[in-house]
Amino acid sequence: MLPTVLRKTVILVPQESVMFPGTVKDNISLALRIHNINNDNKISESLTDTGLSTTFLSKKAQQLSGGEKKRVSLARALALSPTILLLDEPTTGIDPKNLHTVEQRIIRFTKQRNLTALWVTHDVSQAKRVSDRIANLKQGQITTITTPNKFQWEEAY
Amino acid sequence: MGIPYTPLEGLYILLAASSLLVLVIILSFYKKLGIGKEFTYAIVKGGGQLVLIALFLTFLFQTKLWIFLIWILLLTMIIVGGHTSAKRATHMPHAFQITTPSILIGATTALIVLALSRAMPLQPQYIIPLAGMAFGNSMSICSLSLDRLVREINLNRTGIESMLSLGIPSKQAMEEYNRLSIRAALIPTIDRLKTLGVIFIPGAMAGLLIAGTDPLVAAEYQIIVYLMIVGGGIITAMTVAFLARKKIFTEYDQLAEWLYKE
Repeated sequence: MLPTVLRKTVILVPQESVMFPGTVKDNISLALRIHNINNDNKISESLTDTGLSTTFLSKKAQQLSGGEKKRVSLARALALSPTILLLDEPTTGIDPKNLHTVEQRIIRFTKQRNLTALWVTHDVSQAKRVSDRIANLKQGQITTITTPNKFQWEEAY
Repeated sequence: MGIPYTPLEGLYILLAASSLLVLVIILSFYKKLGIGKEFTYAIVKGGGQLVLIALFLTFLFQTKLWIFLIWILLLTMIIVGGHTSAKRATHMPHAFQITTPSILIGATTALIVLALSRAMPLQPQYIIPLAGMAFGNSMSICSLSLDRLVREINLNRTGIESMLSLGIPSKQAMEEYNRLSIRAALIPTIDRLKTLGVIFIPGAMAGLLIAGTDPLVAAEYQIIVYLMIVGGGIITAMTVAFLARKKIFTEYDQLAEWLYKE
């Protein structure tokens, strides 16, 4: 499978949200254009799924706050309708007030879209809050895979 | 016309002019600038190289074998240029695989146009200096564009990775940085072009004027030379951008490992 095709299905949302030049709409539509997907609904739908209103579409992406950039970064991935999302610490840089909302948004859209999300986090309580299954990684090796209820705090350290 | 003295008389004049070198060395010693040694080395090395090439050219202009020897000279120019330029991308493996063909394609295209337009008669006294200028300038532009490209890619690694992670092909992901590197590499050439004749009289024209050529013809020739430099330079910079993609990205469209060592 071509890497460009694979990356449309399995998308990594990096920890650092770098905005491309232009508006939020330009950011979301860039990959859609490359993959020949012309659908304005997808753009607004993916943005609202992350909790941002469509008024953001015309805003300059590079002038957004850290949390907003994070959501646009998620929306860029969602617009491509992937089947697997790789989320590298998706709530880094989001203020504690909005943390819960963003977590809930991610959980909601993954369920609605029937998406598998692999969520990397250092925060054990967050892992317990957001996941169906937790894999503990130690020095590059998975030591346990279990449910949030059975996961022992000590295992993470 | 031309310079009105023999090589021997020239040597005396050179020795007299060297008094400037002595002055610089004394000044450097006195002011503790620490450039005296390097300056002397540079003068002796550069001067020695010039004398050697002058002796070689004297021989070349007289022999009928010039048609074969000139290829050796041109090949040396390309190889030396390619390797010198490749040093700009320290961690890029086999960077000369980019620089050598880029210099070759850019400079050769310019020289072919010059030959076809009869600006460069096919005689060694025309081919060698013009090829020297074409290869030399293509080398500088190649170095500048490669250096800028690698720097831009490194500075924008996260942004490029974000594009790649959305399935955007490497060609599109590096497009903006290609443009920047080509533009940046041509800035000195274009600036020099804008100030031609105002701040300085450029090499080819100065040479022709000293040799007694009509100033208007000398100016025309200088413009031809600059067109060659700019044209060849743009082609070189574009070739660098095109060829560098294979070194910057892996076959799976990931950023290459060497970039993380920069």
